[in-house]
Amino acid sequence: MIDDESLQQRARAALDARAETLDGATRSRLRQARAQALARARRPVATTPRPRWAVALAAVLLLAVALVWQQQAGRLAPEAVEDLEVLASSDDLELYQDLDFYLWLDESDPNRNEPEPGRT
Amino acid sequence: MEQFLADIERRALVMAELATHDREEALDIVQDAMLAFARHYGDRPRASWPALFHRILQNRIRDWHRRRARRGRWWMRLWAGADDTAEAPDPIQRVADPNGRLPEEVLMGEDDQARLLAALERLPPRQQQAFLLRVWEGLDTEQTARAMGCSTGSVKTHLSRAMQTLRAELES
Repeated sequence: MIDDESLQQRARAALDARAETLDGATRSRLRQARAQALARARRPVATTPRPRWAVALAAVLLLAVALVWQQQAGRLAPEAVEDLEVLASSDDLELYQDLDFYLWLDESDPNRNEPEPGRT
Repeated sequence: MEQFLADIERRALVMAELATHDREEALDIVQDAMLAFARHYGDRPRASWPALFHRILQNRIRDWHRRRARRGRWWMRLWAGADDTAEAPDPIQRVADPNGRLPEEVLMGEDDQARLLAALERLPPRQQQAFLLRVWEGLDTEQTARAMGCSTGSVKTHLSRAMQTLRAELES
């Protein structure tokens, strides 16, 4: 029977070999992708004005629909109100989806009091 | 940052390719992950980069699986039919590796490795992720859990099942 350590060593060797034997065209495309990523990271973030009035209008409409529905249905679950707040927020939905991950990162981040990049 | 991405990009590509079984899709996923990482997390502490990068990469892979599931089986068959009539691969793709061997030759000459990689490719996505992040990338259980967006207990379960499957494949 193959023990864990031996199996893991063999897997690492096979995976390393595959990564090291990528063809020239693929390696070239990876280099280009890396250069593009770094170039975009250095470029100042384009600040397109957020259509806040549109977000606010959407939020009002959502709340109006929710209230009408509540009157008709007789009740509105507290979770639904929380979801509406999230949907009406102008923040990136990804932030909410990965909230647990960012909290963990902040806990392990020595500069935790500094503002989060890209989330201004 | 550049050195970090240069160190990780090939392994990231292999991971994405094992998950998608498609080189082009894998390249797109890795490019997307590098863009997002460099754009938003470059000024994070260096020690947090691996977990952050893999979190982004695994999210992109998960999104790919979701899109693929949505397209449905009939759509995949349609694409498979289209692939049959696709042009022959670019000759540049056939450029030999630095050791003078084509990837196919490397695999043919090393049956054991080829079987292991094929078995890895067939693993369920979560088992594959857990195995690659823990065993190949060397992330600890908590980092792996964060990258996969699940509990540490789930990571241990996925890893254990992956090991069982791979061992059975090699011993068969």
